Amino acid sequence: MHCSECQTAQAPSRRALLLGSASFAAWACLPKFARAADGRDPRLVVLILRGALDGLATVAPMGDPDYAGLHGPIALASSGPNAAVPLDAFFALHPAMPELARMYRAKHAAVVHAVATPYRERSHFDGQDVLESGFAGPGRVQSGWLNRALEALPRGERVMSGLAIGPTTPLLLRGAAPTVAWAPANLPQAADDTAARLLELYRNRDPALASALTQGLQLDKAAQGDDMKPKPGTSSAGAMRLVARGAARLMSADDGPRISALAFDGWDTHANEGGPVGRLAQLLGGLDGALAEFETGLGARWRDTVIVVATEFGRTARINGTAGTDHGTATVALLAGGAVKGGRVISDWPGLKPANLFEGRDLAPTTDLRAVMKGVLHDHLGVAERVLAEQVFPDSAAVRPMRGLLG
Amino acid sequence: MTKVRSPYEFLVATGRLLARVPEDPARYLGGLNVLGQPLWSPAGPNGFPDSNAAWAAPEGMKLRLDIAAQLASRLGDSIDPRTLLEFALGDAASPDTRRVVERAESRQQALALLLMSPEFQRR
Repeated sequence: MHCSECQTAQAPSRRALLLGSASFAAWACLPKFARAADGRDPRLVVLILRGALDGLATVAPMGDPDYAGLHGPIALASSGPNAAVPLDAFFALHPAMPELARMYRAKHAAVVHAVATPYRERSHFDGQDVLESGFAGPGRVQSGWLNRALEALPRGERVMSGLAIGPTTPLLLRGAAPTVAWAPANLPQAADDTAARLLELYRNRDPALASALTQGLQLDKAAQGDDMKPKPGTSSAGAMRLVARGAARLMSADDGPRISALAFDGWDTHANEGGPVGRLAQLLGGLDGALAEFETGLGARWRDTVIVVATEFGRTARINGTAGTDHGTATVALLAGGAVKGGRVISDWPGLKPANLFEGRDLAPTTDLRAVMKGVLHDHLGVAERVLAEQVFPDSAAVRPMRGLLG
Repeated sequence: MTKVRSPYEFLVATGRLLARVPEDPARYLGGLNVLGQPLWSPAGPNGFPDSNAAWAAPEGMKLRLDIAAQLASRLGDSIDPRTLLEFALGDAASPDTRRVVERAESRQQALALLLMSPEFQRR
């Protein structure tokens, strides 16, 4: 939708400029089955992490003898301060995600590991296209798989209440089925990662601009007075919570949207990724807070909710020379919500021995992410398997829906 | 070294690159106000300055980055940054600029970095 062009016509103020590193969009209609006789009223949230999440750092294979060596100084530890939280005898969760750990124990969260889209190259742009379009390969298309799944649902009355216009609808939810978008007004954007990349470019090419921008960023931090302790809403972690809180409030209404998509930026941890604490830990903490906001905000609706968290690809198994990880292949997908049959890590674990790594460097994919999405759409929303194989994920009949994720 | 584009030149060049006529002039006017070059309204009769000291100032560069990021968050995912890089800079693009745009973590971030690249910021 292009209505974003008609928002806020007044001259932007200093802070009003900084809208949105996180976005939320929702389907504009109630599915007919929402008021069905059996009282089931499913809600689905698809949350995209842009930049490629390090799955081995999020849910670490502590039982794999090669893990600690590959992830080196940023590997999670099973004891000591900030120890990883055991999920089963083999896998452990990053310590920055206590809320997800609690949901997992309550059997309201599950992990799918060694999962990947069909994309096997290393471009974020193309990887995000494949993740969101639902097609087997890159190439610009005008609609996303979630939108095409919605087209297959019995369309009920239109939902408009409480929804305003936000920055942009993710490709995932773009297409023929009507959608609405919303973003918190004046959400300060933490473009720290963008600023860091630009500074590096200036240092290499343009010392005068490097000096000016460095000072400008310092002035800005000093003016905010929060360079040591980010307040909620001024960091990217706070922004994730804010967006989730607003989205949950909209979705919990009787006439609110049932199906929505969010995107969080900043997961491209090439340098200084950090281990139990650090940059990735802060992001994971923000994601954890966002999941908790959904649980709280959806209230009684949480029982019928599924949240799927997915990213375009994983990261290299071995850390690089700048204490980070580079573009990889397989990673994790996270499921949370009262409708999830949780308390499980679902994985056909490929192992991290050199011979088992994809192209000698990445966690090898053993599960197609489309199987996970198809399983959720089939069991949660009742989308027919044939529609999933032909329209939602074109030419994917060979990828069977994963069964038993819900219940 | 070439001069840094004034806010007016920067915003007009951005609009032209994205092939956007100013359908909502308020966006351009607001950007000019924030960056300190309100349209046709210099502080004195000698007009707006034409120097790096005026336009490559610390606060100004930070604000340009904010504006570029804001604009890219709205428009970035409808373009291919690799194509736009060729269109905007072509052979003038340094290997560093090319690399930072191609390796950006999203289309939005790539567009913001392209608009803020030294080649696009300077005349």
